[in-house]
Amino acid sequence: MAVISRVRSLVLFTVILTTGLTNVDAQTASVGDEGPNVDFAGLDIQASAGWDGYVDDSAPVSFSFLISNNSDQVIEGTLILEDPLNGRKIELGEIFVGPNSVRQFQSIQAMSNWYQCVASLSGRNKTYWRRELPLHTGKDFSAEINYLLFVDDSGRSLQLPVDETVSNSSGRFLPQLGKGNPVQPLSAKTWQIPRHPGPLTVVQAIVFSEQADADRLNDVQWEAIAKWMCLGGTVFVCEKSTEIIDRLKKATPLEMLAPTSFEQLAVYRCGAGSVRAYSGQLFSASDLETPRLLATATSRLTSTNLASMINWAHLSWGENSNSDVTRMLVVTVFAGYWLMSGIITLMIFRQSRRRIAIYTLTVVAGACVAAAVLGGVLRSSYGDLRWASITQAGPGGIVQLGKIDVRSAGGRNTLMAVRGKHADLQLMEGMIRDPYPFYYFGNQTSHDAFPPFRWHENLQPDTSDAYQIRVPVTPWGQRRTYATGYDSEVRPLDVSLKYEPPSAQWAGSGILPGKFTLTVTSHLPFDLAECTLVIGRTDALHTAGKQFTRQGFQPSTQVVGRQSGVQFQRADANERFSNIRSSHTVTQEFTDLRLRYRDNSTWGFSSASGVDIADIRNNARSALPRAIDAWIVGKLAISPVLAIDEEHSDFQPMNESHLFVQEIPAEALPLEWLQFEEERLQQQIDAALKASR
Amino acid sequence: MSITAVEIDNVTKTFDDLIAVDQISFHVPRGGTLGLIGPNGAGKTTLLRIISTLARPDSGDVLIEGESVQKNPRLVRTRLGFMPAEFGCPRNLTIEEYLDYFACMYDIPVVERRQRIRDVCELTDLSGREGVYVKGLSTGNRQRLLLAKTLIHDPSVLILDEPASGLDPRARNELRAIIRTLASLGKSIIISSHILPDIEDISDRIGILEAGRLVLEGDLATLRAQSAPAHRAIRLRVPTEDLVRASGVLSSLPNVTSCETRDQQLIISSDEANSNYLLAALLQHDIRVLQFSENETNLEEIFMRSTAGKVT
Amino acid sequence: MKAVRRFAELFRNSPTFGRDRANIISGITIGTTALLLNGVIMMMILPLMLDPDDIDFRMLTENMEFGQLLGLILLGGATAFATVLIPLRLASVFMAPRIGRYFDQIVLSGISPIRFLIGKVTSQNLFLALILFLLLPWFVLVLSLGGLEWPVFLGNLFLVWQYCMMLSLAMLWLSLYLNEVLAGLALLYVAAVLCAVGCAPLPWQPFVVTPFPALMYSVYSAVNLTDPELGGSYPGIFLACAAGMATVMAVSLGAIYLGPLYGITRDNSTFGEVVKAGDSKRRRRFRFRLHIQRPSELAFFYENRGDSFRKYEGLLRWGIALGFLLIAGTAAWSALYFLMTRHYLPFIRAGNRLPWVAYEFHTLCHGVHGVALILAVFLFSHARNTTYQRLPVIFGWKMQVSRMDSAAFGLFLLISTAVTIGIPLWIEQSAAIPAGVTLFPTTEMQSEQHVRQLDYLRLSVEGTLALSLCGVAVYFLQRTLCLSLWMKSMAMAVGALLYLAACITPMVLGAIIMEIPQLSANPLLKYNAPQLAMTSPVMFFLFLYQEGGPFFREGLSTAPFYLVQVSIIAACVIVMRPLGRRLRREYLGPLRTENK
Repeated sequence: MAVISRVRSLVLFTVILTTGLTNVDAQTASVGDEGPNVDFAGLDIQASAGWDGYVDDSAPVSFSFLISNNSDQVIEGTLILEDPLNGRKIELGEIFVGPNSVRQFQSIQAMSNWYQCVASLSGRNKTYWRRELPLHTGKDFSAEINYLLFVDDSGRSLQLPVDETVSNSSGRFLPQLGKGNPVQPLSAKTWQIPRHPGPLTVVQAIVFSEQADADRLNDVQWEAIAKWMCLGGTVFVCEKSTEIIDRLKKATPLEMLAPTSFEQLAVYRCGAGSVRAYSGQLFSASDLETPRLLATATSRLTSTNLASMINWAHLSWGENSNSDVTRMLVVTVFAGYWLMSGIITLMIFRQSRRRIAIYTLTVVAGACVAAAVLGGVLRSSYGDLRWASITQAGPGGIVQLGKIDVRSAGGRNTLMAVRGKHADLQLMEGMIRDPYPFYYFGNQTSHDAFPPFRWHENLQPDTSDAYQIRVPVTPWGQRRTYATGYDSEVRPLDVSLKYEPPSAQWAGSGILPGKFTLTVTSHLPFDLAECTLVIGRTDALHTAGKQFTRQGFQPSTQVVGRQSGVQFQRADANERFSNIRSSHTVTQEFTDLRLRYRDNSTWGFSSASGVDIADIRNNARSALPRAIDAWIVGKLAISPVLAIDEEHSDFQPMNESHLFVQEIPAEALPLEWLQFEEERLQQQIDAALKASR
Repeated sequence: MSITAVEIDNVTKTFDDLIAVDQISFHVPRGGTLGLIGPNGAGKTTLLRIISTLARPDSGDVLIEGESVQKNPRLVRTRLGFMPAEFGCPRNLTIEEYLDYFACMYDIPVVERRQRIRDVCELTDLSGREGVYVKGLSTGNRQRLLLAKTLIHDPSVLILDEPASGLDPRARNELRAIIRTLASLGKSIIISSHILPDIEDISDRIGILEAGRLVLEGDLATLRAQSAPAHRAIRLRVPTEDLVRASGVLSSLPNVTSCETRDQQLIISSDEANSNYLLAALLQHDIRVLQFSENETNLEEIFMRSTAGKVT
Repeated sequence: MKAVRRFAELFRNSPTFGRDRANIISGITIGTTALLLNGVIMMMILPLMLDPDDIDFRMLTENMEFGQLLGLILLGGATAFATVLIPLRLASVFMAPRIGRYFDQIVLSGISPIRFLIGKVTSQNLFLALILFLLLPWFVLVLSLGGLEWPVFLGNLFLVWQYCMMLSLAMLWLSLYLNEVLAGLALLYVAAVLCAVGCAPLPWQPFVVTPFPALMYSVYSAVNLTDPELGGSYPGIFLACAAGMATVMAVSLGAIYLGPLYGITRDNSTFGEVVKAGDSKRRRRFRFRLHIQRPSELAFFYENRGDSFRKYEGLLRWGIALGFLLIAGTAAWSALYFLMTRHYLPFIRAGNRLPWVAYEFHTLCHGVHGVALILAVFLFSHARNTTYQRLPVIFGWKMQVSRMDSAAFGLFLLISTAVTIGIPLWIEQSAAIPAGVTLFPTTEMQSEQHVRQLDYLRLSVEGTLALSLCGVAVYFLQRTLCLSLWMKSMAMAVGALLYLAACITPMVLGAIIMEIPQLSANPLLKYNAPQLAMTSPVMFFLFLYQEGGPFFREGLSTAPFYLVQVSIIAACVIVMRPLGRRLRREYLGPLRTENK
């Protein structure tokens, strides 16, 4: 035995000897640790990526710079971001700051493949300023937490009431009785608000203090906040800050309705979001009542918005696309060349050398001409386009968000344009940040914000309601864009939902007992098809059964923890109430709904190939503890707001599919159903507590 | 500059127990032509390979224009032109490319190369056929091309190993003419062949090999003298019907030592220097003489007399 | 300037270049090349064209310009194609003249081998030009699709060209020592392995004798697939590849110029033919004595080599061989020293127990010494037709190959033995003791149950001397076999088998005696069985390293081992004497008269 062990260790020793030599220096080749900070006398630059150290590089990252030039020289240079580890470099833009003046600079970038980010302001032959902007701070955005962004220049940070019994809550607010997500407060200065709603979709609410000054934000920033609100965001404003409400009303592309009172707040609904006015004081010496009110409201907000719904849309290219044709063309041309240059030349080997040389020259020259012509055809070929959109109707109009995939058929720097009211178009980059950044758009991890993109300005600024960008794509490569459009002139569906609770004890968990009566009146200028009612409800955690985990169950004061999956079910297939034509009313009764659980269910619909909409998985609003939702979902034959501007695009639409969703607001849900769900939930909680002892 | 082109000094070469070349010595004067004849396995090819630096002698040495083939083989090779018995050629080349290939091999400057190729083609009657592929040539043209290749670097010493093997009489005749021309240009030539009339025609010195040994060597006249028979041999041809009568007439003459009938011919050996008396006797007896020749001793006879027919 | 012009003339004015130029335009050559080349490229492009939505391809096509990717595929395809075809095309450099029976005419032209062979290298440029010409339509497509990084593409193109030249030179070098077909297959295998490993994204890429590290750099840096530490830059990797290939080219060119050391076979061959008594011409043609014929042809051919190095040939050949061994030995010892001082000793100093370090360190020292001796045995021995050749060494002084072999082996043996004994002692003094540890411990824990006494000083010194003695025995065996066999490698193989038998047989016999009851019952046999086994070097070292366990009884003597080794040496000397005398007579007899 000793000999065997000795031989084994000898072999190991030798292997280390041989490999040790080759890799001994590998470790010493890592990046130097010394800091990159460079400063310039009289120049003060505040820079940030994200807010409060929270950076989500799987979403568009907002880079903000506040440049104060207190020197007597003109500072002129270029703002650059660099990743020293893998050599990536982005020029943000040219900066020109006169003596004793301040300049704001804002940029939106995709940082999904970056390990380290060093920002610098470099002149012709010198670097004025350099700082590292940390991307990986350990503070990542989570789908299980709601974020409340406090925009204020005074340097104060919002304090939310914290539950003492929970250690290390890092200033997070936990809702009473587990009704809602924990709320994490963030602080941002006004110069850190981006110019596009994309980066804001990682937060659920924005709050302005009562002393907030509307002029601290420019019109582009107000427009970004307004559009974010239409996409599902909520803005808390002091009821006295009428100027802010007016700026939002002016900036929003949809109509802002008159306020209604809800949970001690005046709610101005607008699209999928709202402005909520509070009356108290955000920073009161005596109590934290107003912060608690806002935090509670924020905890009830869904982290889902149009962007997260569309992320799950599965697209397919369909048959005989331009790309298929051009690829077959390339294969055909070069298969012919292979035949002529190889096989034919072998067959004429008896010919004289001169004749063979002439034949070969002719074949190669001919193939070169064919390749050049082929290249020209490819360069000028139209690419393929497939897209899916979701249109959400709500107070003040409709918002349409389209996920548009383009594929080159051989061309390279190609153009992409959309038309539509308040149209916007952005080009997405590396979707999933992991060592293998592959572009597999079909399957997306659950993510609630815009995918990362680098903001592109409109190439057709003078054309109203049109947006064109350049899509640098490699031949047969694919890129993804997101388009948004808003139409304030379209009135949403009038929906009324009544509920009669069951007379006897309800039959079990698979059934939603009782009778629903749904009446829908359509004012939409287009027809809806395959409509259905989608209901979201909440279950308490079950300690029994393998299905659920004990995660989050807190036997102390918090009775109900966050249950493991979204319990959104849809009405059964036979409950579908077919089409709703424009200007028509449809009434449908549903009795003892048979429900199907979907874990992490989400919106899903397929192309025109007709996968039954009954297969929808619904994540329209991740059901929060003790919250219930109801939605009307249907299919659209046409795109209501956005349209592909084929005249200014290098891509041809191959395949499109459009979905319509409208939420039945909480205040319109039948009280009887609310009470029934409350009692059911309490029974579950009691059973869960008994089982856990 | 030595007067002998090739000097072979006591060269021996053995293969296992076979002595291929056994202490051979001879020389070829500058501009001289030596014919080397001998049966198969006599050691001709081995000797020629030793002379052309393609084999090492076990003992003795060969000097080519004063240079030893063992000490300075590279210099010797540039002065030597060796035409091997077998024609070996790179694939798929025309005559011009073949000659250019070897001209380049001999490091002939590019500017002279085209003219040199034209000259050797002209000398070997290949002019006008430079574009023909070598693999399509007849045996005669191949031997010419091989000779052209051997001359491409204008060597002063030529070693020709059975240059005429496989040629028809006309091609042999033309080859002999070429070799005579080369001799007249001052080339020193060693030529080995089985075709004795050719050797006899073009060589001024002869070397006869047998079983690795040089049995006879010298100029042709000396060899004839050395190997001429005591009597003179006369050949007569008469009409068949007069053959017997003529034999009887001639046998009775005083100076006739023998009279044999062979292949419808009378072979008479006589002591008399002048053979006319034989004709007079036949005319007296009214016998018509179809053919009358007085053969001196030819090379074949010399060869047959000087070799014992040993084959190794 | 004259030398530069003459060197350039080498390439321009080579007959083989002229002939290949004439042959490159032929139906067979162009048709085969086009068929295979376009086939390789189509095979690499089709997956991209037929299934562009495949995840792996999307990872490439999304992160790299298609033009750049297609350019890399073309160069990669051309490199793979050249890796297969160039060795096979060059396999005919000596075989074609031999089969066409015109090799003697080449030798008689007096052309120097370097000028003859260099043309073959130059003509591979024609072949590469043909490859690039046939790929022209693809390049036109790349240009029209756009996205090509020109500096990277041109750099990669240069590396592909350099790789073709390196393959050609290496193949010609190998063809001087191996049969052309074997040389082609061996080079093809090594090149394919190096190309494959060259594609691996290693932080420190040691296999830079192919263009693939540079070709793959664009892909790895585009798809960010690798450890960020790969970093580096294209120029750096380009220079590493160019330098690696240039080194191989220079060594091959020098080795081709110097040529192999083949003595002209005297006893039974003329140029290109091996003649046996009574051979007819027909039988001579189909004789398979290629192992004699090939070296003999090359020996005649290398008589045409230039004279510039001839005056120092002995010094050059043995100097280079000795230099190579010393450099390789220095590298091995430096690696061992580096590993001990930078890894193991700090590890031990940090309080970790490594009971086997001393044992393995001394084992490795003996391993390095043993491998060096085996290399020396092979390098300093020559086949029978060469061993008694007299070569000029310096200033006109000539020496026999056999004597130079013996002197060089003896010198290296002394150096290696001294180093193998000295370095452990030096490491002990300079690094181990200051670190508070020792490489010569007196006691050593073999396992919890068994504590063992091992005298490491004796193990190091006596083990090294014993290894040197074995080296001398193997050397004498090799030299004896070289006098009777035609091929040095065959002699090495036979010698290895014989010596292995000398090692295994005593062990087996000793074990049989101990294991079979009938034999072990005899007290005399049982007592002497270990002594018999001790005649084997393997058992000697097991005894020295105390690995024999109960088999080695107390008071066992190592004398049998020394006795056997010395008797092997003596036997070889006795056998070599008559063999040498016969060969000297054959090779030196006539020359001695000349040289007097």
